[in-house]
Amino acid sequence: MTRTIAIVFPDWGQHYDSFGEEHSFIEFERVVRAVSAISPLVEVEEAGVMVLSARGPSRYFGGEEAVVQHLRSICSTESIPSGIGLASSRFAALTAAHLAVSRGAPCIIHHSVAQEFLNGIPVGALNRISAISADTVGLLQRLGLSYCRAVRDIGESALIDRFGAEGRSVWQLVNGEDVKHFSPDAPPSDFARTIDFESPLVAATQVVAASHNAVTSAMQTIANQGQRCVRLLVECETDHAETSTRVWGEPRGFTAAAVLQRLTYQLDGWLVNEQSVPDAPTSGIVRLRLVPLDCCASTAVQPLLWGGYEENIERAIRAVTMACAVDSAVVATVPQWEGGRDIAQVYTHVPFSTANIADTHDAEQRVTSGRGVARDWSGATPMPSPACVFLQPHRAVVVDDSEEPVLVTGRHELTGVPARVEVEGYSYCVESVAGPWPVEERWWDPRRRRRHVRMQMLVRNQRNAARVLLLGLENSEWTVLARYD
Amino acid sequence: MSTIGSLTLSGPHVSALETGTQFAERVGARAVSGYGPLSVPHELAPLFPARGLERGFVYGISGGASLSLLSALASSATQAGSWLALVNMAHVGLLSMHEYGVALHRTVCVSTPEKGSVWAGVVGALVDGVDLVAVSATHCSPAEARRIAARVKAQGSVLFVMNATQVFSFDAVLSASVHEWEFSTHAVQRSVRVSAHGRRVHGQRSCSVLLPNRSGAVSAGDV
Repeated sequence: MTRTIAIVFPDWGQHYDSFGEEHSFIEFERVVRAVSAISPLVEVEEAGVMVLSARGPSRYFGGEEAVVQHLRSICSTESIPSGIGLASSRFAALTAAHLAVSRGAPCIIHHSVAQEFLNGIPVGALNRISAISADTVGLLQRLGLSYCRAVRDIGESALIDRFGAEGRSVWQLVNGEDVKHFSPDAPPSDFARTIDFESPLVAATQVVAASHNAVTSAMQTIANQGQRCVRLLVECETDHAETSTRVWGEPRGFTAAAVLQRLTYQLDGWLVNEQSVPDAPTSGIVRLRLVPLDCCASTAVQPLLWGGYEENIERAIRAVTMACAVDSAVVATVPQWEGGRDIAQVYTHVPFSTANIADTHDAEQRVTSGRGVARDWSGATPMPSPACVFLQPHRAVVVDDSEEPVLVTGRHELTGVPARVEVEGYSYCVESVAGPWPVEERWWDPRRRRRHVRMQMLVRNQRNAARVLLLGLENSEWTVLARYD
Repeated sequence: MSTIGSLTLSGPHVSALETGTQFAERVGARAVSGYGPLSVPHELAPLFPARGLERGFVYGISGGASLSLLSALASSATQAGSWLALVNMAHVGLLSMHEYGVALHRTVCVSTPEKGSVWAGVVGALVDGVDLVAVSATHCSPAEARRIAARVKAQGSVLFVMNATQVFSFDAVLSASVHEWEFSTHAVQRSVRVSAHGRRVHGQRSCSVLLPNRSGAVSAGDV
């Protein structure tokens, strides 16, 4: 058992998600770098969660309480709540950190009570905090094993018998044997890869572009052994021997695209030529080292014998990764079904690097059912759907024959017959209208309630070309939401 | 071997004159092997001499129903395993793409700055590995456009350029002009005349289709 510290910001993703996942990672980098001042090896699995070894820092600060207090002072500079947990395994430390969030104070599990603490953790945490699949956890719960003590009591051989490799990781988790921290004198991994650059590279995008082939072949070597890398040490060294070291975690296994994405996050904050940043490097990157720390057997995706779909997926992933490396402003996203009546929000976009592209079944799930939201929504506009949806709807003016503005009453009746629509200086004659389709959202909440109606209008422009527009009316203001292009 | 007039043809498929179904099978087999044209819905097939999207071509799409036409063209190929990249096309209605039958799990949206070198680099990188790439507008010089077109040809992918501009020299330009909407309780369906012309299209090719029809997909229409 190794003493481990976990720091959790449970609301980090939500708080910074409005600008996308990249943004939340880059913001998190600020905290990670403050923490890595006391321990060089900090592991980041997702934005808002980091894990580090307690041994070195607690000896330096003279006790576990002292180091936790120090970390607490770092985390309290952030505006959102955080929790710090210290326990004898990674799983226990993360659970303790989540407990600390609700308690509002750091949670230190003493070594002598480590096993008792693990025994009392509900089985559901295996899925929420660690990467055990929901199916396995659901089965354990249906078997009546609701706490880790009960799972531990049934024994290692029975678990492996029933659940295979996953059973083994469940056993390791409930026994607190789940992570071994990287120690500087550990023998080199078989899969470790060092990439030297001929000239110092000063921008993250350059490093990503230059190391693309080597990273791809390194990940391919691991995949060829039937393994996938779940924890990876990334070490960058500059010409002046300054280093940035980080452990990255990815429970689904790293793909080359994911490694390059993490490399961008790690370097983007570090490679700034600013005097204000104390640890900013004084030269470009000349060496990159990738050391896989944990690999596990890969059972998820096997390439088909004759290429086919899987080959297409790999080609596409490679091409999109290369496209993103052209410039840091290039963003690649994939659609995800979200549902709803708002035509612009039926699909949201999730970052390409985090979506599970390689698993076709998973990808189909993403676009068809999303998070289990129903496919059909009452109150949605009828099929067919508009081909062109405006992200920023244009203001419009709808008037009747006597130039009086047309509105919709509370009983969803038009106050006049629309004759003309003006959008962005263009004027259209209205031929027919359909609707209105009213939407009343969250009527129970006076602050967040929203009432609006949508209408379709068949219009003709001066050259007599027919178009159908989808207009929305909210707060007596018309907007063009979409066009049937 | 068979003889038609003074012509002597040979090959596995010309033991007798080919019927329409045999021709379709042969084209289908070429498509499955990965080298043939990418399939399109059969209502739109008359537009293409090869009955599908020819690999290595740059297509321009114009007209009042251009986005619907793009979705309809991409539907069969993405269902058959090809990927579609939409560059700077955040305004595309993904729900409508889904109704046309585009496999959204093989669709990736890329947004890039409209700066010449970056834009050309991104599009060039995408055509290397994505079978279908659609761009909303061109932001590059004619020289960069020629380089992109050469990469499209070398990799055997297909590039769609919306609102056909003069920067690219198109192998074919498809234009979809709206004929009439059927509009009752809502916008029900629309008949569209699609025509193809360009240096790789022999003669005038056109067809009338419902784009979209009642269920948001493409079907044969009569005008």
